[in-house]
Amino acid sequence: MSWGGSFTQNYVNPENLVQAEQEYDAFMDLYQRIMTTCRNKCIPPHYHEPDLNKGESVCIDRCVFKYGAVQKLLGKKMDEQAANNMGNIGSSGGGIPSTL
Amino acid sequence: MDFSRYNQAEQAQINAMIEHKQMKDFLRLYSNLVQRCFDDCANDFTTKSITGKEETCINKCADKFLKHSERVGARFAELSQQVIIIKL
Repeated sequence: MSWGGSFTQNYVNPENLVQAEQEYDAFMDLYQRIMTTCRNKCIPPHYHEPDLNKGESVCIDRCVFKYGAVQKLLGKKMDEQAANNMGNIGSSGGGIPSTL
Repeated sequence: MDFSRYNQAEQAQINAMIEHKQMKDFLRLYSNLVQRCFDDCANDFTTKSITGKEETCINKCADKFLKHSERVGARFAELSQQVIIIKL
């Protein structure tokens, strides 16, 4: 039995694995969504040629960045909403119920 | 996605997990491709075999889809260099 390698290097914290998996899933989910959405918005179902034409290429570029910008905007909005809810506990009628 | 804050044993397990998930993602990409090209191209049900026209359409659809996937991958990599707020 080999005792080489320190305990801190070999110990696997299960919480870290869960966290890494969640991070990966969120990342890949975003990627899949961008791919599907931009395909639906930018590539019409008429296949005249096997390459992307200029219009489609530009559309895809803009679509990806716009999606990222919308995500960022809504992230900020959610943060503000959460901050407001913390300040107005009980008096705000909207927002995500805490029983979720 | 940067996992360098974890130790070696954790990183090894994380990499194994990622490899497993990437296989699943590849299969999902493939089924989406088939779904899309079938929906758009296979409309002639007077015969059970693929007609010449349908085959051409499907080939173009597949090429276009794969090019699209490549382009989105490149742009997404650029996007993730910037700050993305990912809500977990």
